[in-house]
Amino acid sequence: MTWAVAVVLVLTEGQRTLDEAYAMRREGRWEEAAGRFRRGLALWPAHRNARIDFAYTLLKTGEAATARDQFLEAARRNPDDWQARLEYAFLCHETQRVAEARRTFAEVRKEAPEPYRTTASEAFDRVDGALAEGIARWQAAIAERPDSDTVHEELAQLAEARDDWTLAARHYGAAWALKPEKKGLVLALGRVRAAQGDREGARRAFVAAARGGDTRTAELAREALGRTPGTEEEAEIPALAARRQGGGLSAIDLADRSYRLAYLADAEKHYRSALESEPKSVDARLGLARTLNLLGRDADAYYFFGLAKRESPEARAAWRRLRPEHAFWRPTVWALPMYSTRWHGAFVYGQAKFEFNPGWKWVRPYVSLRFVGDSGRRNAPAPLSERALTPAIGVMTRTVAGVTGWFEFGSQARKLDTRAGVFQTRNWGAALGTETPGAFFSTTNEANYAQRFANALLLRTENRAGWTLGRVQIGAVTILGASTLRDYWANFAEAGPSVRFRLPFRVTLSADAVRGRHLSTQNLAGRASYYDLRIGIWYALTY
Amino acid sequence: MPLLTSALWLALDPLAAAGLPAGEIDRVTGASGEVRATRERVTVRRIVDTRWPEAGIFWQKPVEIARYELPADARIFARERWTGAPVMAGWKRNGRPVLWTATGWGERGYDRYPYLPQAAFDLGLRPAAEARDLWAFFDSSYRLRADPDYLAQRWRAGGIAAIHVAAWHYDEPDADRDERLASLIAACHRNAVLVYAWLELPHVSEEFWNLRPECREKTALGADAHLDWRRLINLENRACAAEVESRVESLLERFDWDGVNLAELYFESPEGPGNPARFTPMSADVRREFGKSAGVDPIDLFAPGKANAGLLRRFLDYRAKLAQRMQSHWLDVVARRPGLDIALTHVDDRFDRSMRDALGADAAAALPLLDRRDFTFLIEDPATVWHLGPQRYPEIAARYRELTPHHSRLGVDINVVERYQDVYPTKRQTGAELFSLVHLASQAFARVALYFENSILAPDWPLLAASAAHATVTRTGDGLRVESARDVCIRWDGAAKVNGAEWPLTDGRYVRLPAGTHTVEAGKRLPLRVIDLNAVPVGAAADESGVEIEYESRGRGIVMLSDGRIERLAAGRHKVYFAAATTGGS
Repeated sequence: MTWAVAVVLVLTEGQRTLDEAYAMRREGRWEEAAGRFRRGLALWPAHRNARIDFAYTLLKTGEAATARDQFLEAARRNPDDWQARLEYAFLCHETQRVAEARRTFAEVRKEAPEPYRTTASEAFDRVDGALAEGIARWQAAIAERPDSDTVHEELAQLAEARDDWTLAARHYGAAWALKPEKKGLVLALGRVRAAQGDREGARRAFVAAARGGDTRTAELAREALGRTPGTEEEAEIPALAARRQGGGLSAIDLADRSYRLAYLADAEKHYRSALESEPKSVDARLGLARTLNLLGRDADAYYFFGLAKRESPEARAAWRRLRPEHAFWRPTVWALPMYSTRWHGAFVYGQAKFEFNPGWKWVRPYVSLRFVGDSGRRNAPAPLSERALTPAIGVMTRTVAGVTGWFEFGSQARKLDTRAGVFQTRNWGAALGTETPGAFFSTTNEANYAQRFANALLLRTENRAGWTLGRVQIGAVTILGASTLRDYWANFAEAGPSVRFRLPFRVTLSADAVRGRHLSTQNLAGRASYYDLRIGIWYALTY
Repeated sequence: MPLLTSALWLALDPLAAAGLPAGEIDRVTGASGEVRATRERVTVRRIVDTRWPEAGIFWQKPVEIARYELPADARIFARERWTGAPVMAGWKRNGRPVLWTATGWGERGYDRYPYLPQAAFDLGLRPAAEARDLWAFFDSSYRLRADPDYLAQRWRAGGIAAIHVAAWHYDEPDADRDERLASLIAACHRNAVLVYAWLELPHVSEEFWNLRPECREKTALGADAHLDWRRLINLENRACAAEVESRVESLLERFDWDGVNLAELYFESPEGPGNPARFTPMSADVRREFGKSAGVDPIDLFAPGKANAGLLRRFLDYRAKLAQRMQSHWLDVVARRPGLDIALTHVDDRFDRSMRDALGADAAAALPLLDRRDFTFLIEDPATVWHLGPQRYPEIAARYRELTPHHSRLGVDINVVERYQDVYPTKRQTGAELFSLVHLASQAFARVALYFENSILAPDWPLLAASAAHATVTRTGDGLRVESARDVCIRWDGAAKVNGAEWPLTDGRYVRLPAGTHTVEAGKRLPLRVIDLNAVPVGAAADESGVEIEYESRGRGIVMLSDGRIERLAAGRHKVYFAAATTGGS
């Protein structure tokens, strides 16, 4: 119910903003109208007509690229909107995205009804014909003079725009061979290899661009690598093998060359060889660490980044990034102070934990200190409101699909206590703090066993959904609790609107206004239904 | 206290290059005062600016920084690409803007944060002066469905005096297309923007290429010269040239042009004779003419194993003279139509000496044409120097001043494009880099043109006009003292007196001043004002009965009056009077 109310409120505001946009559009105030459309669609993204009109408004201001993206979004939301798809294709062509234009015209001419089919077909023929003519022209030029890198590059670009990736890869490769210092060609080569489905070839090209190129090329290659799943491959380099036999290059030179060409197994071998002869070589330590990192062996990479971190800022930064996962110990602190109107009191839950990493595959031991406290009014039942410090030792499992298990022995009020549990947290959509507004859904599910509560098993699922607007999330929350213990406080269902704010220092402030009902009335003195407004602050830090 | 000065060193300060009063903002770097460094470290190679998130902003040298915690009211302008760590932000303290960056700004002022000027603008800084004399190139194929009035207003607000419209799209009459161009020209004139026909001979049009295959230029490999987007025509052939002449004359007659720009009228390509696949001209006419004098077919010079350095030198010299001959001829052709201001856009071959042999472009040979014909010689800096900094413009200007006494006829064409070189922080000039280029170029040359209006990113338009202005503006009590070597617009709200007399050249937000030193103070509202003038103001006077202005204009000018009248002005130096009633000018 509250969720529905929240949706209606957001859509009403969205419609109001869109109405303003249309009024401005009628007056020819294109720029202001575009701004209003943008805001209105952030609140009501599924408003089809408004998105199309937004795109046409953008065209009035000459913003063809932005209009193109809006038509794409409209077509994505409604694949049968052939007009939007055609507009998208034409604007792709207008904004120099010829390959995408050609591809979209081909799709529309194949799938759409008339008259879209004919329009798309004619446009496709024009675009494809010009590409074919250009390819033929440059092929003739290359037949005469095969030594011009720019001609090879031009031909490769035309072939890529025509989705002829084999031809494109051949000529990007030829251009690169003629102009090896132009690393952008390797990037293009990786791109067309990826399009061909040659993952390993693409990965090798991207790694070469990432490591051998200028900052821009390297950064774009890293980005491409992030999208290209690769496989490890032991590859021989004939040129290197010949030089090895001739003894012309040092181990570190061989390693660097292998690394630049993305022959990572060779690179590792040569870096290790270099370290044997010069154990404190920072270049060799750093090179080996990078190589191991690319090979996905992060634990080993962490060790070698650590060895090089004093002399190399890059190693230091990489070591810090890998540390939480691979350090021998990892401290974590979290705290949740909270005020509840239902219980007329404040509570705080928290834990300080040191995890150890002895290298076991599935579990890690830890020591922890849990603390629970309240504001003094004991209105809430004991398990929710108490004052205790609980030192404990335990183990945690590796997280798989968001699920983590734990088991610990603790001591509370001089009594030994055993606890265990599993929990899962998953998030979808726009996370709190992201700049792009959007919908989100998050779920936290846990099952806990506590010896001191009569060996009870406590189950809890908390689901949140709504809309993220930068540092604010508005939406609804539902929480369901169940237990083998029949007590009222452990068995409940509640739901209501929720708002969360991201504050500085990674602090999250949340307020949930819920309507709840106990599913069991055992030991319940009052009514089964209740209202509760809970305001809490969440803070967690891992070093 | 000076709000703005035009000293050269200010070009190094990105805020001053954008015409902003750089002294009116506090600059903070790294951990300082309210900014706290956390223990987290971030290596910055790429940043994302909220103003234009899709612009790829890369730092040439990666820098490791702390992740900083900023004041709660900080407005974050840019973040590191991967971690989201803030790298540029701003806030206000005691009414004064504070601009914070995680690192220094870099040697050239724009190495790391291209949008520093825009951030300062967002924090409340405003330029004191703006220019109104920029030119920009325009290609309608990028703006097919744009509202002409919207574009014209935006151009004029950005300081554009004239748009050079890609005219080859209109070579072949077509009712719809022609109507769109006529409507664009009318919209420009309504907004005091002049319109020039931009020709790219020897490219004529796609239609002509298809219609007259026998007129196609050839490359040194004997192929048709379709190079990049240009389809080159053999203008050395008399029959083909005559047909093109009649098409150009028809094009100039069909529309209400204010001028014509003959651009890049020489040969291909920047790779020169090293790449025969792109080398022109090699038509039968050229081969015959050169063969007669040299006794050798020039195409043989490009055959494998037949290189002859001496003969190639001779052919390159012949080719440069041929280009100069063509320029002279086509200047005569376009000058047949009276009333058109003329520009010749010519690639620089003084700063980059390779251009003469690469393209046949010889500025030293073309500049004497200014002795017999009045036109603007617009120097285009070649692609090979696009990566060099803005200081190249004073250097280029100095080299051309040595070659001609017509300094006021020299202009420069800044190519705002994705550069092929490894340049930082952005591939295309934007923000502080663009403003630095325009600032120094407009100081060094009488005219600055921008190629092209579509490649100027949206965040750059609000400060473009200010970056081209050079004036020293000083507060004097309730007024201003302005010194400027060129006419300029000064920010001034309301009616104004200039040098003690009521001043009619004002739109209520700016006053337009002639070159020289002037005082500006509050005046009384006049019944008739000049709200825009596309000409160089020399003087003005006004009373209750009307407005008199003295102006100078190379071609036709435009004046917009506060009562809604828009009048065309004759070329030359004239005084005109506009009565406050509804009668026209005299």
